[in-house]
Amino acid sequence: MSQNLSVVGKRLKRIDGPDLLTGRAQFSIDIYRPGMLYGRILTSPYAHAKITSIDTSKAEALPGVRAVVTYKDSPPTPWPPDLYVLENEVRFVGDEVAAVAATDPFIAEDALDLINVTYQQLPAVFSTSDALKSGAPLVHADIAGNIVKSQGAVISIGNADSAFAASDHRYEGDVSTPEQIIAGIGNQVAVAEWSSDGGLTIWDSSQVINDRQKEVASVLRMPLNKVTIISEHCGCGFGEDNKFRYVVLAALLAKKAGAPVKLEPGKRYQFEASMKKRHPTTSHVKLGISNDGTINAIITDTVWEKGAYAAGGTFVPFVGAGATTGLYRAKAARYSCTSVYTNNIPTGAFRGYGDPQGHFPVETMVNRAAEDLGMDPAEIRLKNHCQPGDISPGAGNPLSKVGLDECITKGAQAIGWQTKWKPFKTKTDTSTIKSGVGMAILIHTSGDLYDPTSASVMMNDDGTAVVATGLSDIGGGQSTVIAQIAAEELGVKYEDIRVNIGSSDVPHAGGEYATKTTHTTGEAVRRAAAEAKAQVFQAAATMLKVKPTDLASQNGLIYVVAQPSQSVKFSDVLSSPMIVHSIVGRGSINAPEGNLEAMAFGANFAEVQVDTETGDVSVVKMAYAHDCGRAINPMTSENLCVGGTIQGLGMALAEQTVIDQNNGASLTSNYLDWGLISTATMPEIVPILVEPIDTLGPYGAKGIGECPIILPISSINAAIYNAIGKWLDPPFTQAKVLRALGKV
Amino acid sequence: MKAFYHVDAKSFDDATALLTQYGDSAKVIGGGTDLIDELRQRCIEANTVAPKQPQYLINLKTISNADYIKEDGGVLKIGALRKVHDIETSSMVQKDFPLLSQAAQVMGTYQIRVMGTIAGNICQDVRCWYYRDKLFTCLRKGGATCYAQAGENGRMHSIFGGPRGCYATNQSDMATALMALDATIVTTQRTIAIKDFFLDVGPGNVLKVDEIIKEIQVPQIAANTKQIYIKWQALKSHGFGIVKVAAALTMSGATCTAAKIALGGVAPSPRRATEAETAMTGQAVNDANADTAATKAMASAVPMSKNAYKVVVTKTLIKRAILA
Repeated sequence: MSQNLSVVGKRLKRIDGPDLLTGRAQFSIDIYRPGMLYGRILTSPYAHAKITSIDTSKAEALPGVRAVVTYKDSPPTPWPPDLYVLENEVRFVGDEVAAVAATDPFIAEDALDLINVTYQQLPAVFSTSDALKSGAPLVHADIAGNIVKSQGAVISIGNADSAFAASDHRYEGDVSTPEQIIAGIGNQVAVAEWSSDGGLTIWDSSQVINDRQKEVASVLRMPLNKVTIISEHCGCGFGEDNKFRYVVLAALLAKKAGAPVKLEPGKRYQFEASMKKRHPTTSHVKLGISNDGTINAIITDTVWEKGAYAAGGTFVPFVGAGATTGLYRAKAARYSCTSVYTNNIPTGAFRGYGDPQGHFPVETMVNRAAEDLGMDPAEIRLKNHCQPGDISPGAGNPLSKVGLDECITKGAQAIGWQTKWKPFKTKTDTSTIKSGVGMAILIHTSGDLYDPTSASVMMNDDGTAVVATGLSDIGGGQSTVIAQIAAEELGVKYEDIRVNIGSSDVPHAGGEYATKTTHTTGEAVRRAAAEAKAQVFQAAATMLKVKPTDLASQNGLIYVVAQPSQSVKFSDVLSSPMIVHSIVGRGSINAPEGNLEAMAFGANFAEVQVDTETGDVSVVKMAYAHDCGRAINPMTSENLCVGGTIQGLGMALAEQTVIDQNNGASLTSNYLDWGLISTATMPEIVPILVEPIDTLGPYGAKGIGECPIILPISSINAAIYNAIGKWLDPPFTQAKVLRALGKV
Repeated sequence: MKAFYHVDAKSFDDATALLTQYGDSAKVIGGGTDLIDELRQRCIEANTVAPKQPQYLINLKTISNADYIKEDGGVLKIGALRKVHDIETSSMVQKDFPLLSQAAQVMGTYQIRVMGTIAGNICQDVRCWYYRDKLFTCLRKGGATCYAQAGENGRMHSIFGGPRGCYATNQSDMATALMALDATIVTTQRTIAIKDFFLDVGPGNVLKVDEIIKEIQVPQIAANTKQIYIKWQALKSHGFGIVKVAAALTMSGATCTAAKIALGGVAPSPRRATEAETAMTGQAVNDANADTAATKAMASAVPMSKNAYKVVVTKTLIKRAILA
């Protein structure tokens, strides 16, 4: 593959930048249809209850109300294993009860008050430890012990118990990680409209267009050609499993009312019901290590809280295994996960997909071991991290390339590790405000997970091209990156590419998840461009009287490699009489192909100051070095590094759902009390792109998207220890710091 | 949000007449940054005691000459409709009452400061999570139970008890600052010293149903007074302060001759740290004396189940305010 690149690797402006900045980009909230109604959702005030009666007559009688749906209107098919559109049982405060469509949003909201629901309260449980007790209330009456069996497993490599027992040094501890809400600024809105031939179009803010299409078609028992999902832009990506419900509710309301319905459930709903939160976890972790610092055994047992429903985020607890089984070259490892129902807000997919929780126990234990052994935390990782050819914890193939050495050394350099780090036990600082540095490393999927992905590239007569693939731009610059890949592969200019995304009516791209788009969708696009180019080269070769294999292309010009002055423009070929049909190239991938697998790697460094009299943790500086294979667009790549680090910082410092332990209501379901990081709290963040050009992926590119959020809880925890000598569990609130220091 | 009528008042007399006419189904609206949010949260719709869900909002922004700031006979007079941002940037305030300017600067976001008024800020409703949630009909709304007492009281609740059964704290930055400055509140009916203005329950202040704040007066302060306002939050952001300290120490050389220290966010009403004030008066401002004063101020603290850390933080902030 030619490395003389003219479009890939360049800091090009985002293709959707002008539309986003001028407000022209259409999100689902911007959709207005003729005769459109407005929908609202009634949610449960109880954590667990049976609906013994529901009377909608008063709501239906309110002038302006056009449709009310309840569990009686719900299709009988669940989203496996347990999520019906509506049920006569509610399992958390905020669970959906009914929905209303009316001629204006205020009437719809007023109508919710007129729905008369009688509840029979049932016992509820709000923690995994309580849910696992014998005789605990059952969240789902038919699921014994509150255990989600399909989301539990034991993954073993070698005999971890004996490797641990035989180790010179053994470390063991209990840690926990908190929930995190997807506090996306975008509004979750679904607009549903039925056509006269029974077709359904839904404008959604979705990042998994094709999955959503299949779910809706399946639950409504419709053929796929009758269900179209449109979502060009999504302002609340980061994972979105539970959106299924309000999307189908919009469709049910629109059908019943005989008019398009815009269902805008509001921000509280967004905090509680529609966007699942990150699973809280508790882990018992063991690390066995030799005198020379070789890691022999890692054993992690983790309990994952599912909340009220297990549908969605199905693989999260399994992905959490990666740090235990694949990050280090331990001789033996064992990871076990148990998924447990509670009557809390459901959990599911959230940027990082199990890896923040999976890395925290392991990285904390490695940092504790390094401190105890007097080893530099960077050194212990350089000595033990995985290498090319080691088995990937993802799809189980040998790893292609591993850029961790460079991530660690460059990240360390950026934070000033060599001068700032020394073991806590050697520190003699007596000041009130104490400084510390800490670090952690990661392994995460890059999209090699057998998710079939396709794209097409159609050439226009003038040499420009349209890339079509069913992804949604969730803000990471996805459409920009695939335009750059298509332009590079075709040999045309970046501005000659139009990107047609955001619909289920173009070749399916699977989901916009798993740090996948650049590496996997990008490769499908590259292949489609290559196929289109091959067709053009066929005609160009005839015109230039050479073989197609003699040709190359760049900047819209097709030329003979051996004699570049011999050339023809794309536009001349495509408008010539030889071309009697549309040139359409198709590309597909079901990665990983062959016997190698690409994973993404990174190293995060944090510097903190801890005020020992107020408990304030100030993060002064962070550096995140990421192995992305090749940065297709270094600007969007760095943006992802910084954005994800900020989001991880929120999880580390303050984000917390506070649940009333008596009735189970979340008290912090708003942007003010939730604890989102603002600019005033953001430290200097140094993004570093490490590019060991991979053997897989388009131009050797791997993914970034989810990775930067994974480590801040781990690196900041280490930095706090380095400052005050205490290990904490996130979020690192002032109350926890003061308690650890014995001041409360 | 429930529908309401929005009525423009031409004068305070006009507004008073409208309040008299509509009684407790009406509320006045200035900037509306708190009130509209509260209506959108639908959290006071079930209130059986004041403040009740309003059906009429009496708009005060249409009253002319109600947002002045001027000096009159050594007293700073601020019109009730003065925007918080215009207090922050007033050169008169910055020169004579820097702690008031600092308090204005850290209140909310710029967008809130250019909308919110000084009187509205003083009269803002509490931020107790239970009170602000439509799912809970708490004691302050006319219900039987203070849910925070046995529930989540970690941030927005009192460390000095709840004598009237409610533990929600006053969250006004302006109120805390004005408390340290011994301000006076002039209403359509009377003049009230700020220390007598707040109530530990109900609407949070002594204003009658048909009474409106017209002006805030701040008396002159000795020239050699150092002032500081500290707002402490879980996160530096536009959010509400968990603990706020406003301090004005009049100095003679290294000795404090008079101390005024107000605390916000730690009790149902803004509170003067009188024990610390007494301890500092006539004393040198040094680490040991500041520590003693701060310790005395917190001696009567009675933290709730989840906010004992606020006692430590408040003590630290009092000490730092004295030493600043």
